[in-house]
Amino acid sequence: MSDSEITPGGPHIEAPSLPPFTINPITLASYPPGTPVKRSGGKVAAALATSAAAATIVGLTAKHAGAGERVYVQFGGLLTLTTEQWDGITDGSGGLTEGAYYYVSDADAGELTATPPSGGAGHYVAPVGIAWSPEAMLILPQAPIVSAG
Amino acid sequence: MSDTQIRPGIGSGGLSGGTVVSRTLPPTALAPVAASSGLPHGLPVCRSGGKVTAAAADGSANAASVVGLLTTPTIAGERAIMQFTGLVTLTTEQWDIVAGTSGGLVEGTQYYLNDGGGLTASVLAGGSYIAPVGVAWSSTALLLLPQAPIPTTP
Repeated sequence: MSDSEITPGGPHIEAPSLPPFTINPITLASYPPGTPVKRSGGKVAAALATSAAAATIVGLTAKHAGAGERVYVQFGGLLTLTTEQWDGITDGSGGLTEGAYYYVSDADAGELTATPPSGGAGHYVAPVGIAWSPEAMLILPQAPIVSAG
Repeated sequence: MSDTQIRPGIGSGGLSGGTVVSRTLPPTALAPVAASSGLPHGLPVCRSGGKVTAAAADGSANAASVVGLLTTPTIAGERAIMQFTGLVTLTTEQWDIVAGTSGGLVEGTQYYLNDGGGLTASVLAGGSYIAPVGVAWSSTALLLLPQAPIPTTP
């Protein structure tokens, strides 16, 4: 199964009703909603901010999907989950902190942190989005840069 | 009043997203509640207290975290329209108010969040945050691409 078939604007659109700012690639593994994912091996996989490549995200998973299945990945706009779902992604409690930027974690693959990674080489700052509320994130993915030492 | 009602896109509950209050709202815009009245068109705003308010580069990191630009006037406690990406087109006079320019934006120039709010073409220093907001597409249009604020050394 090639996910090039569902590239928006491509010749074979399987899901013409994709919501705005959403793509539908195949996932390497099963991830919970809100997982930051990168592109790898023709699929998407959990991101980790320990290298530029691993921290270059294409979006956040918007729904659960099994390994090898298509997953909805949102690369812009508001993503709304439960506070419990966000807590699982941020290792926090009570959901997201309104107004705060979230970054790809450099400690746990597929997680987010409100504290920009630091420590220099091997620790990348990859902004993902701003918490709109405890339940919603405005996704604004940005290129990773190596953190200050 | 909760502005989560107007979210476009998808949520955990399904692909249709939340309840759409304004069906004509473009996918690049949201309709949050404004914290105060009289905020001008094109003003960069941040998120605070369940509302949007003027962002500023010389405040906290959250205050420098731009969620978008206002595209309608604001009345305190009521909804305004805010665009969070894409081209924002205003009159040159409106940009001049927000960016301190004359004759509108300078095409091709990167604009940043300014100290005290609004936009500037200058890269700030001295303890302020560098928060890129967008690139001038023309004198009347800004390609809005807000980025995370970067602290500078005081």
